[in-house]
Amino acid sequence: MKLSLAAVAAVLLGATACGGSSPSTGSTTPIQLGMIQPITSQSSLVAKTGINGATLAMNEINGSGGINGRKINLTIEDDHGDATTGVNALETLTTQVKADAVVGPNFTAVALATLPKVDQAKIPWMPAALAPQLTQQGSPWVFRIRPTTVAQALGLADYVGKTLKPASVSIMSSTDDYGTSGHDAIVKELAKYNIKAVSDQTYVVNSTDFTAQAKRIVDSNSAANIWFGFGEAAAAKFVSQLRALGYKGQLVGDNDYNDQTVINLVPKDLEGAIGITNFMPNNDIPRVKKFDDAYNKAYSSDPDGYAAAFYDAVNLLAQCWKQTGTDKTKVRDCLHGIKSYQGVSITFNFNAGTGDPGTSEVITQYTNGKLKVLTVTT
Amino acid sequence: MGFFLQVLVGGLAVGALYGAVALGFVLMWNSASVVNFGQGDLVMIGGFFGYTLVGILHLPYAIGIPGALMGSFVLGILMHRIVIVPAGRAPMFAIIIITLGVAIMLQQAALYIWGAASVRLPGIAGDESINVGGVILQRQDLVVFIASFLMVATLETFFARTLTGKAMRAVAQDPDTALLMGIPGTRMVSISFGLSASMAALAGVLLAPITYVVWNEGLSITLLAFAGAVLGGFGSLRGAFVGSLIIGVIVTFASAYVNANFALPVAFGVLVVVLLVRPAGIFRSAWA
Repeated sequence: MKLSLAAVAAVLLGATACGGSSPSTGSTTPIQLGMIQPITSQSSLVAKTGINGATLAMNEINGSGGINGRKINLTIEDDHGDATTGVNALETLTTQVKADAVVGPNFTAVALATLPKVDQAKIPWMPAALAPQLTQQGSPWVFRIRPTTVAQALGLADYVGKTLKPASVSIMSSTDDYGTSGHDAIVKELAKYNIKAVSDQTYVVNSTDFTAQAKRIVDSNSAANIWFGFGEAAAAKFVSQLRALGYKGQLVGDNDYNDQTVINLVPKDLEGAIGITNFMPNNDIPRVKKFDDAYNKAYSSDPDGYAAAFYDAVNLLAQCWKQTGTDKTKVRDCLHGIKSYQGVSITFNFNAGTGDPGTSEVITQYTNGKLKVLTVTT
Repeated sequence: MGFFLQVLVGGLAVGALYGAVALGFVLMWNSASVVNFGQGDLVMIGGFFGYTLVGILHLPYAIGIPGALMGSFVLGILMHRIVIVPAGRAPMFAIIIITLGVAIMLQQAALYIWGAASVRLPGIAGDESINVGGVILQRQDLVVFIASFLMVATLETFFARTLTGKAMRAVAQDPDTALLMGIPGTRMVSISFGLSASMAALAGVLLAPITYVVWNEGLSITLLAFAGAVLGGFGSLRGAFVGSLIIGVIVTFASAYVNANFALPVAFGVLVVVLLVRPAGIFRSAWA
């Protein structure tokens, strides 16, 4: 009987430690953080950088004593870039690992399939998927950690309308979700500045030839061309064909125009091109520089937007865990209160209640073999 | 008129790219009766071989191209010996699945060795374009067109005039009789795989300045090149080239005059119509 009482007491103590705990319990049980990434998919490299970012944040937090004495334990599940596997990954993290929060996945299709399970598990969830509809389902548990494609498109169109003020523009976009949503946002935003595209071209993802579209753009004599399309190789090929056909206007584009792969492929053709991104490594902002240095020291490479976003996600969760403990509802409410959190990727504002983090953009220009920052907006 | 001509030139250039790849399909079919769905990935690996020799080691094309062809020849033979020979006389669908499996392995190997980013090579005849009466021609497009034409002529001569070429055709058509005639079937098919991989490598190096090289490019190339080979008449080398040119022109014109979204449906629609009217394709196989 005595032994049984001890066992019951131990179980109760264990349950207290594993369940939601307040900041002052003094528990040393690790906080369980789950992560879902497309480790074995076409986006495996992005998965790697995302994991690096989260791991770096975890190591920094654990190295400085953890969260009120508790270490963070990161458990990573592979979704293969597949919706069903992603749902199973969340199931594993919530039921077996007993995660206190989950970061990732990255693909919209995986995230949308996972969302009902998140609501069922009532767990703070920070996906990196970009499609707008993810935060339009009314879930209070979603905290997207990267700005949507639409936010980037709006930022780009705003820069064109407010700063560049070209006499005329042409647009080139891909026909997938990414390109279509970006295109529509650009057209709508440009209308505010009374700018209408004189040539509006599209291409199908994986196209290898843009002769027809490029020729129409050249013939339109537009002063600037706005690119919003999927695929670095496509962007490089388009720029190359556009210049070969004699286009002299200003090139403006999404984050392909400051992507190192595109720069490596067509450095001459990209000269003078203006691009937009949410995260720019090696810039002069002290907190970003500190993150860059730490990341480079740990992984001997520059971080990308995913590394920065997941680094921020873990730090945001850590801030809330410090304030409220690991009670999931309290953490959710804490995240909803996040305002003007200066991350290394963007400035987070979850207080609007939409689950979107707000946005911040860095406008860049590629000149003389280097990317220079034109403006940073937060 | 200027727009029409520019689109036509663009379509022919794209078609020549598909043609360079389609020749590998036909070579493999004519010499081994195998449809190799890893052909696009052999193009990719060949492109990376060329990139390693020319882009990284800065060797001239005169060394880079033969080097890439030799490397791919060995790879093709290894592919045959390691995964095809053990399958014995498995049905065609099993061989197709095996080649798809090899394709995935090649992709992952390329991702591991060369990374995820696209890379390119400088144009063999320079990167400048040529203006002919207002129509812009890319030098590399001309190189691909001429090289593909030469590949057709060389391969047709090889299969029609040389003893090895005739032996390969014999093995493809009837391996048992060929063996009775003293033709070493397995060795011939190994050489076929090697040659086909070399053709793929040549296409890969020729395409690298235009479509670049990336680990997962194989399938997109394979699909349209295969369509070109079928349209031309599967088994005919010149048919594969002409069929690919037609596919390239249709895709580009559909994109220009209809809608980018309809380019592939229009191309495959034409393919279906042609095959309904002429099931053996535009050119019947020279050996059929």
